[in-house]
Amino acid sequence: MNDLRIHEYAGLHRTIEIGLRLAPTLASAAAVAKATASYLDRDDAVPVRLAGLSREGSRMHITLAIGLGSIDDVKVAAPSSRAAVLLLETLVTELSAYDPSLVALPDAASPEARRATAHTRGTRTVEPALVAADAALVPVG
Amino acid sequence: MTEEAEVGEVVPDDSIVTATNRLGRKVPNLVVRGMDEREIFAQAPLLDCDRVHWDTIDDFDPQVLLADLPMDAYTRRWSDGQHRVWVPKGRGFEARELIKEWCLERRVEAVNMRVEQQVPFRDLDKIPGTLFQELVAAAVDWIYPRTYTIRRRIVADLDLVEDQDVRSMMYLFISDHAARYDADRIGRNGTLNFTAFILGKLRTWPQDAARTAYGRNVVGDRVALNRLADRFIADEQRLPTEGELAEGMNTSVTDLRRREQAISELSSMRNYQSLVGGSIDSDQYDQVQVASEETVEGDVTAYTRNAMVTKAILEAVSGPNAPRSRRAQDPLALAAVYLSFWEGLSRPEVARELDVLPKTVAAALTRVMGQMEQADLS
Repeated sequence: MNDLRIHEYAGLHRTIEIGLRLAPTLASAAAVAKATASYLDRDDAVPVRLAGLSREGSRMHITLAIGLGSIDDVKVAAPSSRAAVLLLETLVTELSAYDPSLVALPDAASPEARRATAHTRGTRTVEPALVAADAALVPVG
Repeated sequence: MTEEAEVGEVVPDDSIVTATNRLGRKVPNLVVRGMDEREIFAQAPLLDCDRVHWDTIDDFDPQVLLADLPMDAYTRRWSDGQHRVWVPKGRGFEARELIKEWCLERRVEAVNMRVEQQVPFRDLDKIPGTLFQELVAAAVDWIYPRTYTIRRRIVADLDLVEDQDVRSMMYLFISDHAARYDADRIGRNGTLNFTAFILGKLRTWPQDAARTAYGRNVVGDRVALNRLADRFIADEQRLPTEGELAEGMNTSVTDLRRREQAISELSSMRNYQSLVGGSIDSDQYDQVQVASEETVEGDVTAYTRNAMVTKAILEAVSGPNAPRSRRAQDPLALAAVYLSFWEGLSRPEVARELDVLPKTVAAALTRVMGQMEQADLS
């Protein structure tokens, strides 16, 4: 369990995030990043961050953390939580060519999470150019 | 129906403390034609007996041998077709030898003749008219609507038994067991009434019926395999592999397969879920399924399969039957599934994280898994 996601400390807002991994080939990684960015920019009500970036064989792994909202919002199916589910469904449907699948979010200290953090640079969307660069440079494994 | 009993609490007269230390209510005494069940059973007093029971290859009525036994003896026909003779306590083995001789002389082929000592018995023929039959019918009327799970198990476990057969089967079951009802036995909550006695017997009815139909070993194996599978599902949210099952059963994989085949072939139990991957005839049958230490992420089919599972889950939590514009998303179900299967939390842990009751989590998981099953992805 990633402690950064479920806060058990009194006074903190307990939230939950869902990990969604896109697995494009190296050649299509930049296109996927661009497409993802366009979907995320369309509705900025749902908190999304790039949680992991890695490469395995001929595939890039782009992991997004999509915020379902606070535990209270999730319990009562608040509009923000429902919007998050809708966004997930949209990404899974529209980007089905890139095998989107639910995954556990990588640990914040892992190389793929650190690489993702480096690329995010304070923006909420995926930076296509950097992803494309990483597609060529990220070591296998 | 039940609540926690507190220490030192005064229990009202109509309440009982159950075996699990909870408060429950006594089941009512049955009344037939204005007569209480105790008055009816008093007409067939309880006897302390030994019982001889056996089977025969051909049809046989044990009533014909009673006159030749030098002791008081009773018989009563049971729905399972086995023959039973009750004799005074302490004379069971003597009666068995006499019955054996009697059968030999008359060339009646007796099978598996055995004695059970000190069993209660009532000669229910002494109850006049149709009082006893009406009493059993009244017991069925009271018990039948309150034993849904038991009825479902009977239908699920036994071939050729349908829902509409269970009521008459229950009548026969109660009629069979009524002869051993001991109304005077005093337990923790006073004397046991007839309905409570039968409810106790009914708890093992499906298992006993399956044993009678398919044999003790097959049913015992099935129960043990189900327990193992339940344990793995509860602890690890997955079914056990063949290797793990074999280890749990203290046997080899080859023997496990033989037993599983016996279960599926002999019983054809309708709800039996084969734990052998693929069909018996498939090529994969010869492969041993063991837990792999290697990651299967590299498998070329893994991406596609994971994507299909993800799509099915999101469809399940998005109100799959409604048009897209009117869908009612269920974030709680998604969170429950995600925490269970991707974060590896147990149900109680998920409930604690989401600040809901475990049964709410269970219901959400069941909903999603049901959709997955329909999509053939579970």
